[in-house]
Amino acid sequence: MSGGDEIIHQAVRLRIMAALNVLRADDAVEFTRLRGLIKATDGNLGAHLETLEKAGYIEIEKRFERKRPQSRIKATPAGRRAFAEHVAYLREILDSSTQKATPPG
Amino acid sequence: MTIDPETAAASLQDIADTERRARESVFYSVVSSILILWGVLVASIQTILYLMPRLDRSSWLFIASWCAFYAIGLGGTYAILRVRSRPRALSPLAWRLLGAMVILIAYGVLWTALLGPAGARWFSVFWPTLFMFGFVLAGLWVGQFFVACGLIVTALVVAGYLWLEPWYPLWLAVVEGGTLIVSGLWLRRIGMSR
Repeated sequence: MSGGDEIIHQAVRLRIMAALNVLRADDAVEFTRLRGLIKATDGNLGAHLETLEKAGYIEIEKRFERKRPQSRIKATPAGRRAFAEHVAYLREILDSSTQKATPPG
Repeated sequence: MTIDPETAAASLQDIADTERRARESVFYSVVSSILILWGVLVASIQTILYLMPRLDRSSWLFIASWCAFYAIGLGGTYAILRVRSRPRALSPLAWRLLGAMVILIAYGVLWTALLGPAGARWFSVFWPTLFMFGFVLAGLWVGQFFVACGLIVTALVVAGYLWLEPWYPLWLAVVEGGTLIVSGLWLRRIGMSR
């Protein structure tokens, strides 16, 4: 069984990666829309995005739209891969615990 | 790192919930483009009809215009779904949406053919209310906003049909086309990607 990903496993970061993973590879989501989906505060979301960006799991594009700053976030291929592996790891844990709980018949 | 089965189950549930919300949000974003497309088409063709009051309703130009309207609408809808949908996330829902649209149009075409003698004026109220009927049904899944819009626009279309004869096509352009465009813009606000 491969180990889980400590960076992704944190609850807010897990939700961020789950939301970004639904988008197409070249799609990004605006910060405020992601905040609504994740149900996090500005500061909390910002801190976790920074951690994910440092790990190379997401890219943050900062730009101006109608003279207002806007951040757009998307998952990198490495981030998608790490998320998929972490989900597989979680499923393995559940599967093995189910097998242990079922007596051999 | 070590994760116990209870934590793993809770995390997987959290992932599933977030993915569901994200997919809904992406779906709203895709549907918004489709509504705006149909709104612009409805507003355009009804404005053209208003500007050409003497156009014979059985002429090839009239029939060709409506064929082009549905070809562009359905083709555009298909193109939006192809470009904007991520197969794993949206495909079944997208195909159901396109299927529902085709069924609605086929139903309308069938009754237009069967009730041809009823006249073009009758069809000018039948088609918009048929579309709004679909709007109301979609609202049962998408949200109450659509149910309310569908019912209000149906009432306005019928009122225009009964009392605003000379301006009726223009009325449809504003009321029906405008509603589709406004609904699309509203959905775009709550959608997730662009």
